[in-house]
Amino acid sequence: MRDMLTLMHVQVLGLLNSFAPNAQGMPRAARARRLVFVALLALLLVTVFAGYTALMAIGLAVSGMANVIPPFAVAAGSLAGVFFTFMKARGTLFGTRDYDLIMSLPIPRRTVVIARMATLFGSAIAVATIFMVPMYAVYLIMAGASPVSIALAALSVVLAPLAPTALATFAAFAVTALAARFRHAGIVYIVLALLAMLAFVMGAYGFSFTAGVDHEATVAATLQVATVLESAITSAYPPAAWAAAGIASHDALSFALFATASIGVTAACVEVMQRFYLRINGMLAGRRRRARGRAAVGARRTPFTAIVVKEFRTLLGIPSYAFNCLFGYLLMVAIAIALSVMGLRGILMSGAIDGIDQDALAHMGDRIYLVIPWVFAFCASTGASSTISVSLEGRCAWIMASAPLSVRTILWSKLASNLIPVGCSLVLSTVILLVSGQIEPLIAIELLIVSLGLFHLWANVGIAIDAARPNFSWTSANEIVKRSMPITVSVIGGMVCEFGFGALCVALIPDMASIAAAHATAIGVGVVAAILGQLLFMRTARTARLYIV
Amino acid sequence: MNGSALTTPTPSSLPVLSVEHFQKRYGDTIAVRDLSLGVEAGDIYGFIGHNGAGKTTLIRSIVGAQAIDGGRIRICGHDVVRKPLQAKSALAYVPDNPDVYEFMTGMQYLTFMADIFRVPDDERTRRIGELAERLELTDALGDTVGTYSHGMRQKLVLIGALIHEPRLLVLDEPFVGLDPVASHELKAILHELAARGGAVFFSSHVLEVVEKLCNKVAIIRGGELLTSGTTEQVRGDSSLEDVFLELVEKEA
Repeated sequence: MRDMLTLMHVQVLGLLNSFAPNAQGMPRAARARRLVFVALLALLLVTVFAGYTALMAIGLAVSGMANVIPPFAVAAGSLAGVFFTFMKARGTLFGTRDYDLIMSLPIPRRTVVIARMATLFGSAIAVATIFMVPMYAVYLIMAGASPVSIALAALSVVLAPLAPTALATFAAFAVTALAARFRHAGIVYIVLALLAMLAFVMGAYGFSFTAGVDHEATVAATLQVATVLESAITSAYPPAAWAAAGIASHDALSFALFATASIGVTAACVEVMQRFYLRINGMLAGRRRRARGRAAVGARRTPFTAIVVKEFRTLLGIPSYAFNCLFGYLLMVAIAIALSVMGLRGILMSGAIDGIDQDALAHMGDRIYLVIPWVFAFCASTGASSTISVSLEGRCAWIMASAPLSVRTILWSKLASNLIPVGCSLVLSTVILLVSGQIEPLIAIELLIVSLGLFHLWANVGIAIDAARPNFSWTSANEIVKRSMPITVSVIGGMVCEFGFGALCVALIPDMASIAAAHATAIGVGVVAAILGQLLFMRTARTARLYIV
Repeated sequence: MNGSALTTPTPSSLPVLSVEHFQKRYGDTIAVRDLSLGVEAGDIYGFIGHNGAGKTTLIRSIVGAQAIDGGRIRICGHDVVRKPLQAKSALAYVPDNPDVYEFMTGMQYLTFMADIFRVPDDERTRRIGELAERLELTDALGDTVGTYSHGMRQKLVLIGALIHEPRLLVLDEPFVGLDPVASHELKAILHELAARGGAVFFSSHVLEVVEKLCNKVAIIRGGELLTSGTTEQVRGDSSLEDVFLELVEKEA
């Protein structure tokens, strides 16, 4: 236990370092201030998400569907972290820089694996807490609380994410093992994992679609819908039913079944992984890309192109980086294809999106097309790989620091390596939508301007933060890819902008002025964002110094 | 800018490296204080000191990878702060830890460095071929760097540093991790570079190597330069090790 706590302490230090890099000469007070700022930001986000889930639970309770809340909370809390766990598992468990050092310590392998997985379990439980606690609070207030139901609800918050997280880690483990057999193992892993993630998202969408068919029945019989919805959730995810029975009906046997399944599946996954831990890491470390004959000297490129190509290689060389940034591109194209096949009205009517029905759609009229650019802007902003590209140089930062290149050239190459795939994905998606007749040319132009403009702005905000205070001391790229300030600010800032201006253009301006004014506003926002982004880039290129420390 | 820094004309009167009253601090701690030294064309200059003496701090500032708090550093007359691109074009850096992009193959890394320093096609092919053969790395250049040992990475970084024929080669503990054959070959390469009019500035803990290889040395302790000059001057009738230990103990 003491060994595990020691190893976890190292991970906590790494976590703090990813939020506030402990750079040489940085005053302790400045670092503490930054950590407090990060904590406040996290608190704000938690409050927003918790508020949203509480409102959702209140909505269910007021509609007479309070009995749906426990299974829904367990299902949501269980599955919310799965997506992130799958993306993070490789950088947390496999291929870490300190692997040799840790494995040379006199600590049992099982302890090492559990300590490393503790990070994944910890973040999954944190996500589950944000989802489940507000829902339970609403349920227990509305349906009446007893000490047993409170205790079981609290216990389910910890237990619910265990098995899905262990299974997601196991899935990442299996995909890693499979990919390691190929010559280009890294790329194969990324492709397999992206396909798996897309399948997960499509599956979740399919579930919503099925539930949405029932949603029409709400008009006729709310109670019947509650039963159907509860049945849909519990049949899709039985542990949710077992936990819910424990909390709602004090059914000890069901809850024991839920607890046993959660702990048993987790223990089994941990045991299998610890047994194969050496082998899988050995496969990753010993993988040799043997040259077929002598390697030829590459064709001459300009420094700009050389860095762009290098950035592409970095993206494909770090799986968690690729997942974070490529998934947005993939989602754009997938949405464009879905829109071209089903049509915008078809998707909105499917019931996958809460609150949209026939009446709402009729009321919205042509303004629904105002939504499209903001959806793609959102996808584009999730793929801002350039925002962390300075920090990702890591221990190789000396190469850029001592290269005879201006900061402008280096940063512009990094930004271009991000703009190129974002631009290509947006153009491809736009062409698909245009050819399938889903959008008019004006919307196509609006889509490109809004998406690229906002992307340019928030990518440059991230680059400015990263260049001003890079973190080169990471031990796992996940510290930078998942938790660093530049990407967090860039993605959240982009989301706030897209939801804020999107709501303004879709919901307010058409009523206050006209649909044409809403289109004009969207284009204006895109243009202004692009100009601001460019100004910020010029400032960063002028003021940043890409030093090692 | 062309592909060979050695062919770039610079006034012969200018030292290849000039450090004047250099100072660097980390927070409240002064890492290096008022340090001055000069490296001429043809010099192989050894920079020795105990752990934490300030060797890497000075080296990082020379190659432009770290800010300077006081003084001035010039490479072939170019101030590293005011004219960083010209200064960096004339030098090459081999850090103490040969960390390079692990997802690249050795050849991709060398091509990348050749692109960054704008080395023409024929020259890059010739130099990579020659240096890889001498350091026995040719057969591994198609493998990803992630599979390299420490010594192989060290060799790769050395080839990448020499690819544009730098006027000043700056190395931080270059012999750590090299096998005896590669170590011998590196000494020969450094001598050849100096003979062609280049200069070498390197830090080391291995005093025997410094004594045999360098025509000039400097000894640093606690961020202050204790002595510098030709190896004969600094050493006198003793060995460099005796002088180093005597100086360090006396100053302590």
